[in-house]
Amino acid sequence: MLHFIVRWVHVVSMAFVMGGALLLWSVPAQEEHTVLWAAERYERLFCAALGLLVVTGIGNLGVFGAGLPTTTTAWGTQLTLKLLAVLLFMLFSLLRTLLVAQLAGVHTEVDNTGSSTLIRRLYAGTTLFVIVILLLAVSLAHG
Amino acid sequence: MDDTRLSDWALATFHTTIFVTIALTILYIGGGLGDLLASLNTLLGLAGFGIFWLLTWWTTRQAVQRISWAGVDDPIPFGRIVAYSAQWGGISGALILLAILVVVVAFLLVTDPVELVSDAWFLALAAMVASLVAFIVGAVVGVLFALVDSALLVIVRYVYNRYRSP
Repeated sequence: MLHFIVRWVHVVSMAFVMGGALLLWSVPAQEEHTVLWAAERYERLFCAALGLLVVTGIGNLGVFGAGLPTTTTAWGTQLTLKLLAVLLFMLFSLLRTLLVAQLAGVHTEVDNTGSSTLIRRLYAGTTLFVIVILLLAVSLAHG
Repeated sequence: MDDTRLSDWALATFHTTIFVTIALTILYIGGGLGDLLASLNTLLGLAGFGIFWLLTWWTTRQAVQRISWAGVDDPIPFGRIVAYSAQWGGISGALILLAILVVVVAFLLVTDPVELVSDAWFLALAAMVASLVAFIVGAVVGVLFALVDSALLVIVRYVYNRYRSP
C-alpha cells in the first residue's frame, strides 16, 4: 500500500509539473499580468512538487532493493540517463524560477510583452524537457 | 507576492533536491545504491528527507536574508554570497548530523539504554568530532552551491535585461 501511494504521489507531481508548464506556455503574450501572477504561483508549487518527485523517485527505486539493475545493463544505462536529465532539468528550472521571481519583483504597469514572451519560452522549454524525461521514465517502467 | 521569499523557497528546495540527486547518481554509478536502499525503511527515508529539506530551507533563508539582493543593474555581491553560503552551509551540515544523532540516541534509549549510558562519554566526543567534520563538509557544499547560484544569477540578469526593453 505504501509503495502504491509513493508511486501515485510521484505520478501526480509529474502531472502537475507538465500540466502547469503547458498551460503557462499557452497563455497569450498580451496577458502579461495574468501570466506573471500564474507563473509565480506555479513556481512555488513546482518547488514542492520537485521535492516530492525526488523523494518518491528514491522510494520507487527502493522497491528494487538489492535487485536494482546495475549500470552495465540497458535498463541501468537508461536510469543513468534519466538521472542526468533530471539534474539538468533542475538547473534549468532553478534558472527559470529565479527569472520569474525577478520579473514578478519588478513588475510595472507599463505593458511589456517582452516579459510574457520570455515566460512563454521558459515554459515551452520546461514542457519539452519534461516530455523527454517522461519518455525515459515510461521506458524504464516497461523494462 | 514577495519575490525574495520565492527565491528563498526555490534555492532551498533546489539545493536539497540537487544534492540528493547528485548523491543518488554517484551511488548508483558506483554500484552501492541497491544494497543501501535494501537496508533502509521507506518511512524513515521520507522523514529523513523532510528534515533535510526543512533544515536546508531554514539555513538558506538565513544566508539569503544577510545577502542584500541588489537591484538588477547593481554589482552582484559574490564575496558575500560565498561567505554566507559557507557559514550557513556549515551550520546546515552540523544540524543535519545532530538530527541523525538525536534519532540514533532515541533508538538506543528504547532498545539498549544500559549501553547508551555506559558509552555516553564516547558518544558525546564522537558527536563533537563528527559535527566539526559535518560543518566543514557543509561549508564546502555551501560554497559549491554559491558558485552555481552566482553563475545562474549572472545568466538571470543577462536574460532579464535582454527581454525587459519594450
